[in-house]
Amino acid sequence: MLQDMGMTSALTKSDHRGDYYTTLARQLADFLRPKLKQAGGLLTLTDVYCFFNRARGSNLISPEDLLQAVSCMKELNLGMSLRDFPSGLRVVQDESFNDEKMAKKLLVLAEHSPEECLTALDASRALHISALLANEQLLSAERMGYICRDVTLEGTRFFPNRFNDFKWIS
Amino acid sequence: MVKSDFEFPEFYNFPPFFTIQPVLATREKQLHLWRELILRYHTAYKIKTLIVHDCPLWKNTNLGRELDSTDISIIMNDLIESGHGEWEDLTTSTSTSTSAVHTRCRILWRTPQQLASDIYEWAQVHGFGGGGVCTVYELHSGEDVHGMSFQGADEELLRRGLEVLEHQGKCTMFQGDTSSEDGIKFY
Repeated sequence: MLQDMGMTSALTKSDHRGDYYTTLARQLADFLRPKLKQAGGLLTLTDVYCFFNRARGSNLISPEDLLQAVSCMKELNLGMSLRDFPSGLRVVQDESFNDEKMAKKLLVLAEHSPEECLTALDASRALHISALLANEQLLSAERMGYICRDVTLEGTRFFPNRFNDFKWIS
Repeated sequence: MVKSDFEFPEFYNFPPFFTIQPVLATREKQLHLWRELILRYHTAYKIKTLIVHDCPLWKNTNLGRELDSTDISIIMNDLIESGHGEWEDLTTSTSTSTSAVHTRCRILWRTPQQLASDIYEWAQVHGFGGGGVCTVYELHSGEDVHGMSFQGADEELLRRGLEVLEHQGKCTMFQGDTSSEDGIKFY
């Protein structure tokens, strides 16, 4: 199974002390590329940890090792890198992922929905990503001014940001 | 007059209007709209004082949304800071807290600064510039002030606007036989 995934050997720390993390990073990147694409460009570190270790079967990497490996992806130009959101959520992000594009996508989704608003659940269904990631994207779009929020006891919904357009017609 | 006589703007039925926005740029626009609404509503019904816990604007029953007390404080503070509102009641301290408890806010459709520039502009147009004189009475009830923002204005507010003008060196005030005969000389 490991060979199918393109891993010819499961590295262990004792093997290549010096460039252990570099090699792990490359291995991880190769493994993640198709999964990242399928997920729309973002995967939480937790998801990455689970996927990768499940595939390895043995010689599992620790969360610290994962973080170290992911941290050096950017300078190794592997086409993906670690990203920290203000909420504290950490993800691996494909370099082609564009926040603004995602924000505009969410705006259009909101505009076309029956009540002209989106919950994190709606967004996650529409984009086929987890509700956690969807929520993060909604917050990002809100920060950019594309959408605004409505908070009630039932939860938070996001509307197109019409505050930009409202004018008093006297 | 009933609340339904007033023509509410479109944004009063936009649910996010009742959630104070966390993103600052959006919040600024929102607070600006709340200020507009408060000013226009109170001016339309000629209500001079906003009583915080009685104000019907905070709740939109049709929409099923209302502001909580924290939200209301934010909006009131913004109104005060803009110069369009003034607390009428003083800071009070109770046995349980020493924080300021304000309930009555005077609404200023035009701030003293705005009144000052409105008056000055009017004075220039009507030939009072360069030494012309008129009385305080003429400013709020004269024939020439029809349609001006200071027409029918509270004398006290008018004087505050005039004080601003004096401060700017654009006029001087002098006493008349009665307070409404006090005069203003424009430069």
